Amino acid sequence: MRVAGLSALVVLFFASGTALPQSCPVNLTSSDSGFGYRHRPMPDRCEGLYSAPVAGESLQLLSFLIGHPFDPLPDHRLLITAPDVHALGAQTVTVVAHAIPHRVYYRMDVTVPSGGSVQWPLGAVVLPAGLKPGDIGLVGSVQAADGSVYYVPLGLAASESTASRGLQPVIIFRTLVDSGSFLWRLYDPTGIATPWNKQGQRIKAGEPIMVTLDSLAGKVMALDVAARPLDGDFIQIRLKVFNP
Amino acid sequence: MREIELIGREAGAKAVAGETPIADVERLKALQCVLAALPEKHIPFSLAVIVGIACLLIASLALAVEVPWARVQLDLTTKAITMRLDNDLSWHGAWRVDPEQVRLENFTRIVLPPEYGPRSESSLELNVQTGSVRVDHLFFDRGALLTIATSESGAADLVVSGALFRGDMDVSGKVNGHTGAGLDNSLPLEFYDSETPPGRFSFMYNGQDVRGQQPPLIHGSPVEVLFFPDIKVINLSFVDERVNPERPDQTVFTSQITSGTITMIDTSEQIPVVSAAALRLAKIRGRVSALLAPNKDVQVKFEGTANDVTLGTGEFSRSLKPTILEWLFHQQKLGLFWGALTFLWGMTWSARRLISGVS
Repeated sequence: MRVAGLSALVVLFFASGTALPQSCPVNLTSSDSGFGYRHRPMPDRCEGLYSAPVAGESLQLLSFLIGHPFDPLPDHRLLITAPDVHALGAQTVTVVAHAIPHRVYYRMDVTVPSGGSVQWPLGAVVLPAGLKPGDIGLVGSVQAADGSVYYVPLGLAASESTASRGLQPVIIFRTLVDSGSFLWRLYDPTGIATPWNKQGQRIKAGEPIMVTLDSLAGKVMALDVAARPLDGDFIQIRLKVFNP
Repeated sequence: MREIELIGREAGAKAVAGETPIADVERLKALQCVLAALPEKHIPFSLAVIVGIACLLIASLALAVEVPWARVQLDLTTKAITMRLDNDLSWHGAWRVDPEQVRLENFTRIVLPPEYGPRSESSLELNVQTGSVRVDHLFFDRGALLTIATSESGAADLVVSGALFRGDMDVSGKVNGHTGAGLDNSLPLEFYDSETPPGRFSFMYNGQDVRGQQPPLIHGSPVEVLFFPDIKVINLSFVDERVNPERPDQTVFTSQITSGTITMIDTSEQIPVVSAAALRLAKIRGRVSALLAPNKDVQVKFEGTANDVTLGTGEFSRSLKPTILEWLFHQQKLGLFWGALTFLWGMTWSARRLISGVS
C-alpha cells in the first residue's frame, strides 16, 4: 500500500503541468523578481524580465509595427496581428518584444499563425513590472527555407474592430554607441537602390530612432540602415522586409 | 566461548551469594579442555596465492590499460586548424583585411551592393584603393567544418564546408572587382566615399557540398586580429593536405603546428610540442579559442576530452593518455577519500571495541 501510494504521488508530480517547465527560445538569466523571463500559458509564450544584458549587434531593430497601437482595453489585453506570409512559404510569424528604453531587460517570445492573431495580456508582466506598453517594441520575422530572414510589420490593437488599417509601418532602431548620423534606404532588391535618407543630428547610445516606411509595395523590399559612431566607422545592417 | 562466559558469570553470582559453585567450576574446566583441544583456524595457502595473483593481475591491468577518456589542454601555434563545430557560431565585429586583394570563392550566392544593380555571383575578387575592407559578420551553422589557414605571405584563408555559412563584408574607397568562376568578369568601378555607408557584400553558402567542387573560402591578408573566443567543437586537427610534388597522384598530410604545449589535465603532465609535430586527437569534445593576428600563425587554445591523444608517427608515435594506475596515482581527491574512509572506519571499530569491551 505504501509503495502504491508513493508511486501515485510520483506519477501525480510528473503529470502536473507545472512540474515540467517548457523551454524558451533563448536562454536568459531570469530576473529575481516574480516577473522573471519564463514560459507562461494563455497564450503560450515566454515573457518576463531578465537580469543580464545579451550580446548583440551595435545597431538593433527594436520594433516594426503599423500605427501607434498602445491603447489597451480596461482588461489590459492587446491583439497582436501577423500578416499573411504564405507567399514566403511560411506558416507562422515569430514575434519578439523588447523594451525600447536602453538597459531595461524585458523580452517576450510568441508565435503567431500566418494571417492570425494572439492576445497579449499586459497584466501578466508589463504593467505589474512598471513598464509602459508604449515602451515595448515588437518585431515579427519569418525564416524562409533557404535560411533568409524576412521582417514583417505587425498590427497591434485593442481588438480586431480597432485594428489600425491603412496606417504606415513604423520601424524603430537603436545604436549602442553615440552616433553622428543615421542613414537608411528602402529599395526593391531587383532594381536599383534609392539614395540614402539621412538624419544628421547626433544620436545618443540607446536612443530610439523612428523611421516611417511609406513605400512597402506589397513585396519583398531591402532596407539598408547605417549609423556612424562618433569615433568610428559606419555600422550597418541590411534587412529584408515584406508587407503583403 | 559464549558458554564459558555465561557459566563464569553464573558461578561468580553464586559465590557472591554465599553458595559454592562446584558444578559450575567443573563444567568450566571441561569446556576449557575442549577449547584447548580444538584445532587453530588457518587460512589455506592456496587461497592466499589466488588472492595474490588476482591483486597482481588487477595492478598489471591498471598499469597497462589507458583510461578511456583523457582531459587535455592544448596551447598551440599552428599554420592551420580544422574543426567541426558542435554548435552554431555567430561572430560580430570588425575584421579588416588588406583592401588590395580580397577574394570570396565558391559561394552559393554573393549579393553585391545595390549600386551594382540586382546581381549575385559565386566568386568575387576585390582590389580597393584608398579605402578599407572589413568583415563584419560571420555565421557558421552547427556541423560546419571550419579551416583557418595562414601562408608564408601573411595571407589567411577561412574555408567552410558541410553546413550553412554566411557573412557580410563592408567595402569603402575606390572599388575594382572581378567576378565569375574564373574571376574574369570586371565589375564597373564604384566609389564609396567616407561620408556614405560602405558597400555591403553579403555572401552565403547553403552547406550542400558537391563532390569535386571546392568549398567556399575567404582569402585575405589580415590587418586586424580575428578572434573566436569560444567555439564548441567535436573534431580538431592541425594538418594540411598537400599534393606531393614528386608524386602528383599522392596526397600528403603535413602537420602545421609550429610550437606549443599539451597538458594532460588528469596527470598534470606537460608535453612541449615542436614544429611539425604529428598530433592526433580522436573523438574529442571541448572548446576552442582561436586568434588570427596579422602576419602570424593561428594561436589556438583547447580544453576538453579526447578518446585518443597520440604524438608522433609510425613506430615513434606514443599515446599521451594516462594508464588507469597513473590516473589513480594523480587522483589526490580519490586518495584522500579512501584514506579518510579507512581512518574513520578504523577509529569507529576501535571505539566500538573500547566501549563494548569486545577483544
